[in-house]
Amino acid sequence: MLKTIYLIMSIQISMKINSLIYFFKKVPLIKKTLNNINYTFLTLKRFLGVLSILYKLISTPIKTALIFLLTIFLPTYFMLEKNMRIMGILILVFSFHFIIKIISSEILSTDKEKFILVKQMRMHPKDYLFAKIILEKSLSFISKTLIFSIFFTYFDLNYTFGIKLTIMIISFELFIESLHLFLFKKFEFNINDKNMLQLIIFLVITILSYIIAFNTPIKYYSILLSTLTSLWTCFAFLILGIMGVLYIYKYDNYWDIINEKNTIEDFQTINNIYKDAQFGDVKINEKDYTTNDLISNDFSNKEGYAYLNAIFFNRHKRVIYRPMRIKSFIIILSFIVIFIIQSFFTNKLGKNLIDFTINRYTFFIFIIYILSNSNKIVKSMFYNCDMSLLRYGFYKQGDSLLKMFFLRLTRIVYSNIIPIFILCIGLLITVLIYNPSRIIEIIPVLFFIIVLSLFFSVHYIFMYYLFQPYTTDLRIQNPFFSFINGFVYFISYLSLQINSPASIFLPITIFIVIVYMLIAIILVYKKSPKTFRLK
Amino acid sequence: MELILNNITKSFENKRVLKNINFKFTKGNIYALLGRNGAGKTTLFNILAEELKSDDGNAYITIDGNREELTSTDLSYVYSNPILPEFLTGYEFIKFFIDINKDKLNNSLSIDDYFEVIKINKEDSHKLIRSYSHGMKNKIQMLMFVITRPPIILLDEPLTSLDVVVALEIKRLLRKIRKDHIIIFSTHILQLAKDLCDEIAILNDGKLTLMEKELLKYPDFEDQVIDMLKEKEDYA
Repeated sequence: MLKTIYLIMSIQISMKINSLIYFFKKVPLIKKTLNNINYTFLTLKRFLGVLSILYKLISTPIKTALIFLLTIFLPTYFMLEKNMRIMGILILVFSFHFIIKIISSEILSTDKEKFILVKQMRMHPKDYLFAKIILEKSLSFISKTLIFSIFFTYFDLNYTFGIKLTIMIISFELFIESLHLFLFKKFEFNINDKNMLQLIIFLVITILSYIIAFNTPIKYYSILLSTLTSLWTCFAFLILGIMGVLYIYKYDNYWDIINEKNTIEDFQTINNIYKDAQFGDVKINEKDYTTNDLISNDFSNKEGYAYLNAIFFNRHKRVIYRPMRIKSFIIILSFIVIFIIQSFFTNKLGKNLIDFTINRYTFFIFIIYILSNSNKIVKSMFYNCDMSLLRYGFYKQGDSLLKMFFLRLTRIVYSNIIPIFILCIGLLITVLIYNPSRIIEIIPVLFFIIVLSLFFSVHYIFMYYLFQPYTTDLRIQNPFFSFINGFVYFISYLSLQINSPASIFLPITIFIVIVYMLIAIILVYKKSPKTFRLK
Repeated sequence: MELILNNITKSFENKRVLKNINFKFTKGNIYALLGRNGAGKTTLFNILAEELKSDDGNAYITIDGNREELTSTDLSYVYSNPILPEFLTGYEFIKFFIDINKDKLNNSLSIDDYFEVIKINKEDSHKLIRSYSHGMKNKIQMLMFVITRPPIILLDEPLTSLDVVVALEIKRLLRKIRKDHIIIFSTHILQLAKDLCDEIAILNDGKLTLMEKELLKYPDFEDQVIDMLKEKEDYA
């Protein structure tokens, strides 16, 4: 078994190093120096084995400590008085290290390593799974003993409590694994198939645990503590653990486990889930369209790229126009609520809203950032249209690209500007009804809002044409794209804090935004035939 | 009409995939571009289709004695794995394609007629491409060159994953249109090359060589090709 463990660890570390090198080979500056490295030097097995043991011995305790710190220690530290903290911690330990463990099984899970080692490298599933569970639990035992002893000594509980607690946790986990194996053999029940159930139980337990931990009266603390610290409890758990290990060792159904959850199809599903997570929200669904939708002559008056674009936006109503309608509706509703409150409850709201609009107009930068939907539209353009058409020469030519860019831009502007117009009209009506004397002051703000909406419409599609950040395997590749988008978010957020006089700030921002849009259009014209490519 | 490759060279990292390729393709022939996996067939196609830049050398096309540099508009490139915009129906895609090529077309078939050519019925032509099988998508790709009739047609392993019926239909289609085109057909399946093509060009060790036509008639033709592929590999 030791040999198997050693082999598993070597393979784990070599997979890690390979993917690390692969990742670094994509980074611009480092790329060149790594080009000559091949992966064969990693076959130095002895070196790898030692490296992996060291890595595991260091990384597992760090992980354990971090998880403990973030999920258990810090929440109780901030939420509870000093004398209550230890109780909060014990309750959370009980939930997260015992109760939550019931709803999943490591042995019955789908993972790539199982597939590689058993299916591809023909290791016997029993040798592999048993060695693997012993390896994981031993590492977990070492880390938990270390971390818990330190933490509980800090809380004036004896360090032996840390050790006892670790024994109980590991024994319980082993017992639960054996229970899942039993259920799988007897009823073909695999808890890992019930993802929704797992998620719901996980959320319920987590929320409940925090509520209970932060609200339990101190008197229950001694009961919990004495139960957990009692040697008898520890002994009982230990017996369960030993039973668990024996069951796992004697289990004879390992091939079924591997065949049930680790087939090549399972890994394709995992990859698809990954893609879905990235692009699922913009996927089109055949069922959304009737045969008549697909035969209709609605677009026959259009030609070429205009035809393509019209159909694209029509088939993506769900992604494009539905959010537009929802946002418009929310804005209308907000104004109605404001008018009702103003009419029946207080007569100050209208005036305050006008003051706010004129004095804190930078707030709208953030509002419009949130209202603009361009990012999602750009994503669906790539996934459903450009990813395929960019493979054809005719689509990549400069004038075709520009035609599409402007056709798309008009549609995006339209979808973003409707809610914004409604917002502006609402503000205008508010001024006209409640304080007509300020109409001159509010007009530049409305102009500012409209220009900003144009900015957000241009920005995303401009970035898209300039960087084309997506790869055909659907991961964002270009770091500048993410960086600039993050930066725009940051600026929008920062604008909430700006408090400068409108007479200076408004014209400057409007000017900058207009110049930006002009530069964007020129750059798309000049650069996109080179940059708008499949990666 | 001729397609002339002049000194085309391409390396990836430290590996030279194409080494000073000089070659002449002439109209009216279907060429098989035969090579082992990884020989550089797709790389050569990508360079001709301007998807990839060569490190050195150029490709030219001569029509009626006029020699010009090859551009992607002179050719149609059919991928082994057809990728089409799935939000359109087959009909819509072909209408779009005809629209944007309107000024280059001189035949007056209707869209329905075109679907008739590739044997996709009317009902299916109005379904989303998303629901099409691999074979149907492949036929749509073929239709693109049937419509525009560019001088050069590149097909990257096009028949390898098609069922027998579709493969036969496509073979017939290629034979029907070959007299006006240079058709280059990359494959690593020897039998297919012999069966469909007029000439066989072998890409091995970064070099492209034409097999003598006479060889095709010999019973030991297959052994000879395999010898050629092996021999050059040994030198490498």
